Amino acid sequence: MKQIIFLFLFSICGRSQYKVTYDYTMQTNDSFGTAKTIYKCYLYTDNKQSKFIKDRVIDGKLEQEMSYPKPDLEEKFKAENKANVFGDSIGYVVTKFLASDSIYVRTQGGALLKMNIEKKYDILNEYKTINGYKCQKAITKIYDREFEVWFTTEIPVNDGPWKLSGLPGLIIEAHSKNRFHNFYFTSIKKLSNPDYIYKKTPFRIVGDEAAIIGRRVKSIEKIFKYRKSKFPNNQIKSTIDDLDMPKIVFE
Amino acid sequence: MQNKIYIIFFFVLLWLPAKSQTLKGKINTVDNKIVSNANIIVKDSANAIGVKEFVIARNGSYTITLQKNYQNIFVEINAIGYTKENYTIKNTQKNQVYENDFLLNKDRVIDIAEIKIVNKRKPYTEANDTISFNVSSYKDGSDRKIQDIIRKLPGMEVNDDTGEIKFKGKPIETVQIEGDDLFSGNYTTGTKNINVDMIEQVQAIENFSANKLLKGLETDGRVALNLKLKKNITDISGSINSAMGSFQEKNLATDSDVNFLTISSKIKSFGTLSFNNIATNYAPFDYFGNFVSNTESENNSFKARKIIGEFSFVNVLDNKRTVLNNTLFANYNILLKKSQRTNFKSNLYFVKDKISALNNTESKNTIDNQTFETSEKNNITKQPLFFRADFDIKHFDSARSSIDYDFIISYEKIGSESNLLQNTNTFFKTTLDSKNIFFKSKFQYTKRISDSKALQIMSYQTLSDLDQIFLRTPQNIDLNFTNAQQTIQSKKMFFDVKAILIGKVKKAKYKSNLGFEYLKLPLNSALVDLNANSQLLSSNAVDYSKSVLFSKNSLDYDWAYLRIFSNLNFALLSQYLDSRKTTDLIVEPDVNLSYKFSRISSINFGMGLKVNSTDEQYRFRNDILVSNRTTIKNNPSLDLQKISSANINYNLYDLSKQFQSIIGVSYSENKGGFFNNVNIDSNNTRLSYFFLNERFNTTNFNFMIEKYLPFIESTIRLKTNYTTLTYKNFVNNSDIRENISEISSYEFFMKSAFDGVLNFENIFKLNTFQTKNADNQVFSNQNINNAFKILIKPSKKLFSNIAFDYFKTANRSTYSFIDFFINYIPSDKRFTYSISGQNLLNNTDFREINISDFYTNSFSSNIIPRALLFKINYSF
Repeated sequence: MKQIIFLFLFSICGRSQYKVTYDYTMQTNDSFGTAKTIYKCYLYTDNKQSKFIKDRVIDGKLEQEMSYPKPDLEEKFKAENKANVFGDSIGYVVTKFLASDSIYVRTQGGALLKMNIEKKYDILNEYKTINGYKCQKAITKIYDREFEVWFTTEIPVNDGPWKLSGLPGLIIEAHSKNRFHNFYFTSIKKLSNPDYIYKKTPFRIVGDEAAIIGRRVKSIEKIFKYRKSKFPNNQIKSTIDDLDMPKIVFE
Repeated sequence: MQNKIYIIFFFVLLWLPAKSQTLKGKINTVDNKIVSNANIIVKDSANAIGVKEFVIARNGSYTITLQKNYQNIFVEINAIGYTKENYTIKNTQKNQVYENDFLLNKDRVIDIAEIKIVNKRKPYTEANDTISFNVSSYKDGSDRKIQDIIRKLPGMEVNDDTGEIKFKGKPIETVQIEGDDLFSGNYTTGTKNINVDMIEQVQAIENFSANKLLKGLETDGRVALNLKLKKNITDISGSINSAMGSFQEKNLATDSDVNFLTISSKIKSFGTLSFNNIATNYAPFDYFGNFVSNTESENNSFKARKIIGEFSFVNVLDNKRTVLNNTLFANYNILLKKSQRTNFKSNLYFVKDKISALNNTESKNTIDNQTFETSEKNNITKQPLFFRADFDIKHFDSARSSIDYDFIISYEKIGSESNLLQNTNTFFKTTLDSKNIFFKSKFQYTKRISDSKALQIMSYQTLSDLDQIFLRTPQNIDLNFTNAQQTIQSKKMFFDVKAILIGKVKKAKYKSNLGFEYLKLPLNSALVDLNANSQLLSSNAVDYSKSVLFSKNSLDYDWAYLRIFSNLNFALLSQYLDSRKTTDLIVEPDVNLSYKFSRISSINFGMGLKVNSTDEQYRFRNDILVSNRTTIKNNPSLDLQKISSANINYNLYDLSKQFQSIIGVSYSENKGGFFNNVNIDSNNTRLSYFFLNERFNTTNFNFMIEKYLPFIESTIRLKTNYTTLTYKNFVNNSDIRENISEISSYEFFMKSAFDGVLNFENIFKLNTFQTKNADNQVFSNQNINNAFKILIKPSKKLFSNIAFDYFKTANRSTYSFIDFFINYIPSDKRFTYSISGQNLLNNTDFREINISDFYTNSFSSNIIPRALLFKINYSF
């Protein structure tokens, strides 16, 4: 029945805009165990252009939920997060031009980055049903990180969460190989106003992706070197496993 | 080596043509327009489930060079808004280019405007400190006001008498609307009046902080609710509800109200106007049973206390059955955001009522092994008139400091009249007029000094002016009773100023108050005999004042799982009563420990000591006539009362498993207090109070468990409460009598949640009372109530319920009530229609038994007769 309704829903007109919501869950491991953060994400798409929104702040509340294996540290992190968040913010926005494959990313700090990300998909003969949709598996690589992607041709939208797009159906689920980065589809609805995604995303400055990555690497490297100098005899390892850059390990 | 080269060459030959199959074509609509976006999906057969290869075709054409070699190719096109098309190529040739154009038909299906949400919506969501309950998940068709929904939410309790709400056992601070505290503390105005259809979600916010400058510094554990409005609630919305019907004696029964909510970026307001005579109280003030909410209790602490109380309607029956009222209630609340930094708020209240009752009381007094009976037949009316205006201005003079000024002015006038027959032979007419004017002003300055520190300066100034005139006029000539007039004039003036330092150091939060308060309570009374040239029978001129220099300190230490919350208060109390003066140094320590086993369960332990100065009602020395038969006098004392208490409780609240449980024990011991000597005969009761440094104590045990049982698709709840208290008194100049009272209550609740048309709800309650006095005389009573309800929902548009209420109040007194309710929601959801019937068996009065340590009292009151009501609600 659901499929029939969707067929109805999507058979109306090409200019329709859809709001798809995902949960992005990021997992990290440290000596205390596995920490998990769930981010609410929104994809607005009309199959030509789309906006993917994460880290939205409403009334001083960041749309994410964090759990950490050590309760006192969890409280501390939450308190720190709370203290740093105020007002309203659209957060992190990926604007995709599906025809040209060009992508603009507005970072949480308000910098705008332009990028082209080539994605090649290997389509596999693996299937599963997710939320009632028959999905097929595909594999791709972004920033040298392998992603397992599940898409459904029942929703013929060539879009997906984050920078993922370009399959013959909506991407319903995606996981990095180490399962640190995961996107889970939660809902879809048709919107009456198709203009939202054409509204400009506000930004503060035009940024340089390489410079931003460079700064991030440097800051972690600095901490790593400091720790190394403090404990020269210990085996120290620092990993940057951010979604928007290749994985880097300092050893 | 040569063989290997041949093999490789052979495979290269095989592979080359596989790469070279090409599919291409144009994609147009049947009316020859380009289809700008389509998916070309390649499968190896028409029945294949999966995609082998694909291309996204933009601008009306496609070309795909296949990666693999297929014997048969099935090509499918899939484009939004068009029907799916496909073609098959059998026995494909290598290196071949296959060209096939698509002509797509527009999909003929009619537009489906509505949204499709894939995941089933959960009835609630949890995020950080907020639990959001979706109102639609808890609606059953019988709900009118948002209070009816809140009552059903897991973890919530609504007090039937005051409308106050508790969440997980903690009283909530306020109810906000879209994040704004429109109603201040009197949130019941909102919850009793806002229509359920306006609200999308009820959000319970734990660790709430009303003052945002104190965020993160205040002690955790405060709870508030936020009402999230439906998306279509913008500009002005509201409802008109009108119910008309008749009582059995053909009088008009009505319950009508209009309410509206305006929302804009700068103004938020809510107004309501209601009138009813079916015992529904929409106001946050209770003139039926004189129940007082916590917020009003704070205001009342600044008001002069009435020595002569008005009649109140309290019995085991719901007020809805016993109060014959005519209540007009008007309320308007407005919040004006003048700028980002300045808010104005005003709340206006008006209540006018005429409440009547016909009571019959028979008391059997057993004193010194002698028994005598008294009786009263009483026809009472009570007419309150109340107006109150609250103003509040809040200004942030910077991002780190704010000034808040509240002002309240209220006027209350209550006229009561009763015609009574005492002991079947003496007729009286009594009137009581009480008039109270009250001002309260509160100033508060808050400065966030740093992330870990804030300073507040706060001051209250209040004035309450109360006049009471009580007239007792015997209607037959009897020298035993004078035509008496009792007048009382009292004032209460209060002023305080305090500085509060609030802060945190790592895991510890502290709060330190230093301040001064001054209270003055003059009281003048005169009891005169109007038949004897206004001869003065008794008078009082009391001048009481007290000043307190205090330091209140609290420390809250939180290790995530273990939390210690402690207070240590010091006060230098000086009291002046007429020419006497006392000064006392008071130390009040208390400590609370809370250990969290997990996110859902915790154990709490607390103990402490409180020291109170004596209540103002015991400060007059000479007789005051408070009813047709009762006079009160005191032997005033400035001694202090010490109350030490301890409690332990365990809480479990697991929303996901719909399981909650509370078990607790508390003990308190009072040392010192006013004891009464009751002198009672068939015509008069004389109470005289005096202070004794005696001890008396109270022990309470309570237990509650609630669980949804999936195998019977029902929620069950068991609740018990057992209290034992010791108290002492003197009756007819006896020796001191030690009495023990035991009060226990049991409640068993069960409600089904079947998917079908029928559902059931049953609540069984058993209350027992027992008092044993020093002579081992036992006075006991019990009452039973069983309320059974059948809920019928044949369709989404129709809902009805039938309620059977059974009471057994004494050995021979049993009562049965039948009520019904039918609600119909037509396709135009702005309207709803309902019919309700109350007391269909037309019971005319209700009798219950009250007991003390020397009497058994049988009290009966008339109840609302059979009533039928037809109701229309219109929402806009």
